Amino acid sequence: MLKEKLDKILLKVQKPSRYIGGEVNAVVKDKSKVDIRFAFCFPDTYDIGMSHLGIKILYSLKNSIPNYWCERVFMPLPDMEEQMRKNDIPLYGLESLDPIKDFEFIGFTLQYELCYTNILSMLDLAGVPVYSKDRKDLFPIVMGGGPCVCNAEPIADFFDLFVLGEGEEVNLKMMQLAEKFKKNGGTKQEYLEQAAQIEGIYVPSLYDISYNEDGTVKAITPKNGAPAKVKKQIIDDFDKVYTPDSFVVPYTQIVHDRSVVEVLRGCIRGCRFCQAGFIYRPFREKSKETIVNQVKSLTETTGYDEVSLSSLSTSDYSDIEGLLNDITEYTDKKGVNLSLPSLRIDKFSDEVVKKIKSVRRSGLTFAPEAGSQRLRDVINKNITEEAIFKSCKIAFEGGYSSVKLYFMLGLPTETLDDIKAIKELADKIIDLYYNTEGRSKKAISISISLSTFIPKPFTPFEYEPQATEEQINERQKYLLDIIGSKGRRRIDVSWSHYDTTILEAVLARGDRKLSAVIYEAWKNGCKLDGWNEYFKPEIWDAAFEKFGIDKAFYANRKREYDEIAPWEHMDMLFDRSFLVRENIKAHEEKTTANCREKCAGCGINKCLGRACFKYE
Amino acid sequence: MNENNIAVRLFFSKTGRAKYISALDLITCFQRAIRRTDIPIWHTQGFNPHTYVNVNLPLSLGSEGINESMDIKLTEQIDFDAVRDMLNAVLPPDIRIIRVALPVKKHTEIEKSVYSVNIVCDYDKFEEFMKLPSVEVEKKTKKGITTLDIKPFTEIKDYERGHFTLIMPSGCDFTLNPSLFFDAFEKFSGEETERLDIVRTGILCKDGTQFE
Repeated sequence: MLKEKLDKILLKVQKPSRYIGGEVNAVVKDKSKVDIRFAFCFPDTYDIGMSHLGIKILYSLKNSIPNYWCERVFMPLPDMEEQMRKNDIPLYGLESLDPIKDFEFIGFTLQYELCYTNILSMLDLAGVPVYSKDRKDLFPIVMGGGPCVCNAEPIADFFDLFVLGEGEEVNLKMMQLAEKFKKNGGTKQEYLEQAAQIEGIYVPSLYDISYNEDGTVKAITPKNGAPAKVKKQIIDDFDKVYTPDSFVVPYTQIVHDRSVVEVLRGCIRGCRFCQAGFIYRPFREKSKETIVNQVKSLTETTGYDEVSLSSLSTSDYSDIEGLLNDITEYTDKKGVNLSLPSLRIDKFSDEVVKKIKSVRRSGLTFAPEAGSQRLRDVINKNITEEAIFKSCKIAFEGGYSSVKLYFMLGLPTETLDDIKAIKELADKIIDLYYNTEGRSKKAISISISLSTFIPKPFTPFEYEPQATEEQINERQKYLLDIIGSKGRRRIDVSWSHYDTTILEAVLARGDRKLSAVIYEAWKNGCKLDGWNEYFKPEIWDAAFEKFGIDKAFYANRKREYDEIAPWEHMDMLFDRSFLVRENIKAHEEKTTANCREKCAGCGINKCLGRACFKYE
Repeated sequence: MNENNIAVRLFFSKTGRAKYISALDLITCFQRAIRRTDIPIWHTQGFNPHTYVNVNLPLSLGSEGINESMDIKLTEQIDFDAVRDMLNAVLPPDIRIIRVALPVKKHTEIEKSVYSVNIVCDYDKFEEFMKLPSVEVEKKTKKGITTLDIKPFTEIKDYERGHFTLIMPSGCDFTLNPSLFFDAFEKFSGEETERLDIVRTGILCKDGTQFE
């Protein structure tokens, strides 16, 4: 227990309550009755990690087993890390305040590529060697899960194993095997070889990777009985998927300070840039009754006055209007606010819109992603100008005077005409505002947020080059020029830094050669790369240079359809040929209907043994 | 406000890990705790009603308290012990309701706080520090930073090698955070204090009686 040591330093750091645990609903167990201890590490700060739904689900699930104890661990900010190192305080679990190096598992959730250096920081702060090969003992086993596992190659050298896909079941199997080893003995190598036999577990050290002279992957060869393909795990009966009936309620305010109920998994839309839309297939939803019950139990156990529905696209819930009616019947009575991020309001009756308080509160946001219909067809983003205008009109009549629009720059086939269309869309919304009767008397404000498109594995655009810095700068400048300084009084434009996007692009489609670069960058002080104030691009560049690695090879190179991808041994349960077909259609500017309208033939239904939807 | 509301004072302890909860976060914590129970609580009226709770005297971050209080309003009469038990069932382990009672004093009557202090340091230096005729500190006010001699406002009782009772002003008009005294000591001794535990044990009113 490090409590006494912590008492000495906590008043010297910002917001100390996030480093001490003890929150409502935090699970504390009697150590003497626990066999397997799991450190659930979120490689970002408490404020961000505590907002994440996945950690809450798996935390509760693991703790539902009497002799397993799962604790939460987050990345300390530099002020805290400095104090910890100065006072010899190793990274600890928030529940027990015990050092996590003595736990059986140290597990990371891998939500985005820019957290990779945080993983090394946390392992090092825990007092655990960062390279898997240097950890000779059976325990702790360092594992990872989450979306980035679909290509975990750049961090493969640091991990003992990964869980691919939905972790609800496979996590427990992995822990049961560890329990057996703890009782009967065995080496780490034996454990890993047996773990590799569990479906959905990927042990990177059991695969040899060879490269061609041009740097591309030549072959991925499994050894010691590891499967040629690691199969993503899914929960088929989603209505019965494990859902926690309580959340840990933090003291300090976090990013999403409310209870969250997941309503569906997967997405029917098939937007070609969106990795989540592919890797979370198939589409599955919970029943209305289950969702309403979960809203009730979470509200009662947390005391939150706000609940949010979560999914990739909540509007696509099959009976969304009925669901909202059922939920608001309860939330209105309880005085609880229902918040629905990114809900498309053009689909609903006025009555329902009125019910959703947060729609009134949080403003109007659209993500057309591309300015022109042509480019929206290329990326298969099914939002039309008419739908945007219809929603805007409803909102303007309701007193709104600001609109936020999200776009991506650098999409495949993009030209300056597509950029021009961004400005034209904003102009049309301005006209619509001033022609709407009953609008607010305020001047309209439009904000345009530009991110840079990053090609991701397991999307139809995984073959595409990322636009270069010159191309992105040119397009940004063009947009700013045509909007003009006068126009920018009404239209506010913001954009992302290319430095971070290219790093994310490199890591997203990277291979194992990058482990050395990540290690080098971290060793020289890189961490919290996702935070502008901590990001150090020059150290990253020096690390790439040291190993003679060209970022453009990973980020800006077009891949042939038959190139062996570094993630070729991951089976996401749909056919890779589907991605090729979709890529070809993108270049033909042809759209693909959403899955509910018509099956696109991705092949995911083979794992279900049935069609995803009942088609007429 | 409805005349039938019953003003109720909750006396509680805030110790252990809970000493790192800020005053503002403590309010949120109580509001959420109350929402987890069936206590008939009064909500503020208006466009955005919220659960009414009022902290009588915030405790500074890092100090423990064993006689803290917070006011709520009930919309109907229920047994006070039941309120205590319902809240203790849902509050974090390091915040415990000790008793629930009708308020006797107004919070504007508060004048001083009583702290029980345990300090581990160079005791000779500390005793020397205590004998200083004046202790000048910098205090942030609305007008900027001013210098203040806190010695006349600092009362030390029952001193026994690092363990003592400290009484400092903490009313509506004039409050001194005990950390001012200990920061001044660190400056005086030139070294970091090994350990410092501050527990607020009581709150005194202008008439010298306990706030209750």
